[in-house]
Amino acid sequence: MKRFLMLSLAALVALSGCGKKAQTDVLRYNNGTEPQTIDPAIMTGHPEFTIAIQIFEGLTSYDPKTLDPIPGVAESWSVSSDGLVWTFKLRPNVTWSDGTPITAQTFKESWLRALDPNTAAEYAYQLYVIKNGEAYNAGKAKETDVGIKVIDDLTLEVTLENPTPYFLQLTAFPTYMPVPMHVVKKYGDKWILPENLVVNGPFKIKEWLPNQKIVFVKNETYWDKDKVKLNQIEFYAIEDNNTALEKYLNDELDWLPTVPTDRVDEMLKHPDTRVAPQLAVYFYRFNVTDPVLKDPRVRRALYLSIDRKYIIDNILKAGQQPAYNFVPSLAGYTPFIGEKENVEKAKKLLAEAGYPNGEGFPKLTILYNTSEGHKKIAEAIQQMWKKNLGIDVALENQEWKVYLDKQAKLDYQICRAGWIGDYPDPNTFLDMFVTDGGNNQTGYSNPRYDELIKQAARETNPKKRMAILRQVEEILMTDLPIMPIYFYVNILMWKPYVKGVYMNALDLHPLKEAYLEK
Amino acid sequence: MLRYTIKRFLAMIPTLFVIITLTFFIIRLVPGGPFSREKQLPEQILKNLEAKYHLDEPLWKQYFRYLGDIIFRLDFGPSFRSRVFSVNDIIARKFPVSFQLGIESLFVALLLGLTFGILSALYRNKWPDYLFTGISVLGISLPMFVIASLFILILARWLRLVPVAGWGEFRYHLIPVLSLAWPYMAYITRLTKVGIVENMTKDYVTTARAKGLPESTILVKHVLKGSLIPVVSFLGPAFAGIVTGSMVVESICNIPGIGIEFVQSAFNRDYTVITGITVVYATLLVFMNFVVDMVYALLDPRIRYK
Repeated sequence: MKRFLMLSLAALVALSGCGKKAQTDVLRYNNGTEPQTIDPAIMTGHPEFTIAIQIFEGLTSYDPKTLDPIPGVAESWSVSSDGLVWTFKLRPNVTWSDGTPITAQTFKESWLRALDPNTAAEYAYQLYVIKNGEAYNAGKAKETDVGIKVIDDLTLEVTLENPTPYFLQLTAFPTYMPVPMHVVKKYGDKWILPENLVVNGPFKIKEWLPNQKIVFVKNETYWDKDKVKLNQIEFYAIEDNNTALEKYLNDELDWLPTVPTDRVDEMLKHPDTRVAPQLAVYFYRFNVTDPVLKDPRVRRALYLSIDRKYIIDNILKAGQQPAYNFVPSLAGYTPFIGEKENVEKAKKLLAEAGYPNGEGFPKLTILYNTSEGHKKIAEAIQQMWKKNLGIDVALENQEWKVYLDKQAKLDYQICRAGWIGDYPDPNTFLDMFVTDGGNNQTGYSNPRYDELIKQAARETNPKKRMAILRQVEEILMTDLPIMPIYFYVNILMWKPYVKGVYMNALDLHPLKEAYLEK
Repeated sequence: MLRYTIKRFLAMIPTLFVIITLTFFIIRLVPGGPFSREKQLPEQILKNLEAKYHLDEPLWKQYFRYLGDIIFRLDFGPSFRSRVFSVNDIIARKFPVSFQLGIESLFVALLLGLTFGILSALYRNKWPDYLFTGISVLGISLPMFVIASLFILILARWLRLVPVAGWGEFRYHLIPVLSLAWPYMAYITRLTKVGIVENMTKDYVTTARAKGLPESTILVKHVLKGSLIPVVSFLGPAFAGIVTGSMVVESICNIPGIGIEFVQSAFNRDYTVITGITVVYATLLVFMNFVVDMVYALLDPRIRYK
């Protein structure tokens, strides 16, 4: 029996090989999930964006450190004095990986494809800033009406609906990336399969094992290939955060996009762990059509009586920042900071609203989607309101889509929410609370707010525009249809030998200039 | 027997029809749709998407379109989440992975379960019995994610015998196969042991002993056959369950199987994927129950003559 056991163990070891494989020239990156698509016009999620920025390049691309737009396929650009007409000069001799040239016509066709209602691209609205983009997407305008004009092979002229100061940020965004129309026409939706795919980014796909990994290799036809240092990257699709962490600790991965919540404490002490502010805010929505919550004094009392720092220090524990405004820290924008915690004032406001010491206050409910983290925060807030205001709130958790459905139908009183910016501009946060805006979902409406958002969209002077947006945030923090709680952080890990990569607010990591120093 | 077989086969059709119909309508009654997002889609975008997937048509029309596609073309339609792969593609790609993992696990579960069960029964109330009963109690009581995590910790992190997770060559199979097999092995151990112990006290065993047959012959030729009936009835649904994937093991061990796809499709309200996988699962279950009935008849002649 003993001999049998020894033999079995020996056979097992021989068959299994060693768990740790020495790989020195490959960056092994956990991308967290299987991409739904790698068609840049159709993708919507962060894991897909992370792939897109390695294999495609728009007119502009992202600076790996700051994510500011830098020249991509376009080597230069200019904008008219009214901020409406942008002219891009493309680099000569830029080609797809099959050698087909990329011209201004490529961009025109790619953008029109993204806007075509038959493509049904979810992020087509990112191109609504282009003149008649929305009308074309609704089937109410012709191709020729859309403000995209090919001047010559290397010159593209884009006319916008309104001056859009963040337009260069958008041209680096996946929806604006070119697609190889000659391949799309040939293979339809299957053009993105590795055997058909042609790309124009620093890397190309060598192998795609669905739900396992995607292997990228250097794209030898990329115009800036000399700067590309890595020969191979492997993107894994490991969804279970604990499994991914074990793989990382076992030296089977070099990059981890997130740390499991229950191990944040432990991992924050690990030298590979990196924390950076994220362009995202965690907040509660108030349903302002609710008889109790329609009173701004009640909303302010609730806002003033929670201890954000307690939540961060005791529940989140990863250096998140308390939020007294809605827009996370952004270069060039001075946020309007709202009032800090003030329990006495909160009590007074609640008494003025007719509920002295919380007496007679009806039992409200906090709605959240099923998650241990949201639950803990909701429980803490429930306790704080009980202790500080003497009011009782109930908690209700729902599965994700049910929660979204209830939120959209205003079938809630108070509910949790999170918002991640698509591009670093206050507008991506503030325009959500316009009257009847799809993402408003609070019943809130203030004509002055709506007017200022429109005014900001028309404003060509960047400084004045930021000042208007600050006024918008001031209205938001006065009316309080929402209660900001904290600004998110990204927590990720990479091995010390991974170089040429940086933490940033959008958590996007172009690996063009990354390298391994082992 | 042939008439009975044909009758049972044909009975599968209405069963599957009912399952398709119920799944189709029930999943659409659940709040939230395939395109509900935290960032609400603009109305126009939603319209474009609904038009692309025919969700703008009346429900009855969608149903008959769906049913027609399945019956006439065996086409489960496009996935709402994956824009490249159809439901058929997804099932064709992921089901074999879960199937392979399931078969391997079932083989290990059977091999170990029967061995442990027989040894437990033979050495009743002695240390092998306590050991194997202990193992089976652990297998039944410990949740799968604990078992899988323990194997990862021991085999991958401490002993460094195999990689933490993934799928491919043999070394990737060890942890998921053992994790998935463990609870099944535990049940088989228990059922085998109970079956043998029960049968050992029957009159026909006493008679066989009186005739002077050796214990091993009594066990193999007489007792085992009758004792395995509970194991066989367990194996039918167990087979259907194990080969259609385990969300927990597939998730923890990062296996591209159908189990995790099924759970995710329910969360994503990916209507066509849910129905497609349900049909595959139901077909397997119905078919396996049919196979179990046949095996029953072979193991116990009394059932055949009923």
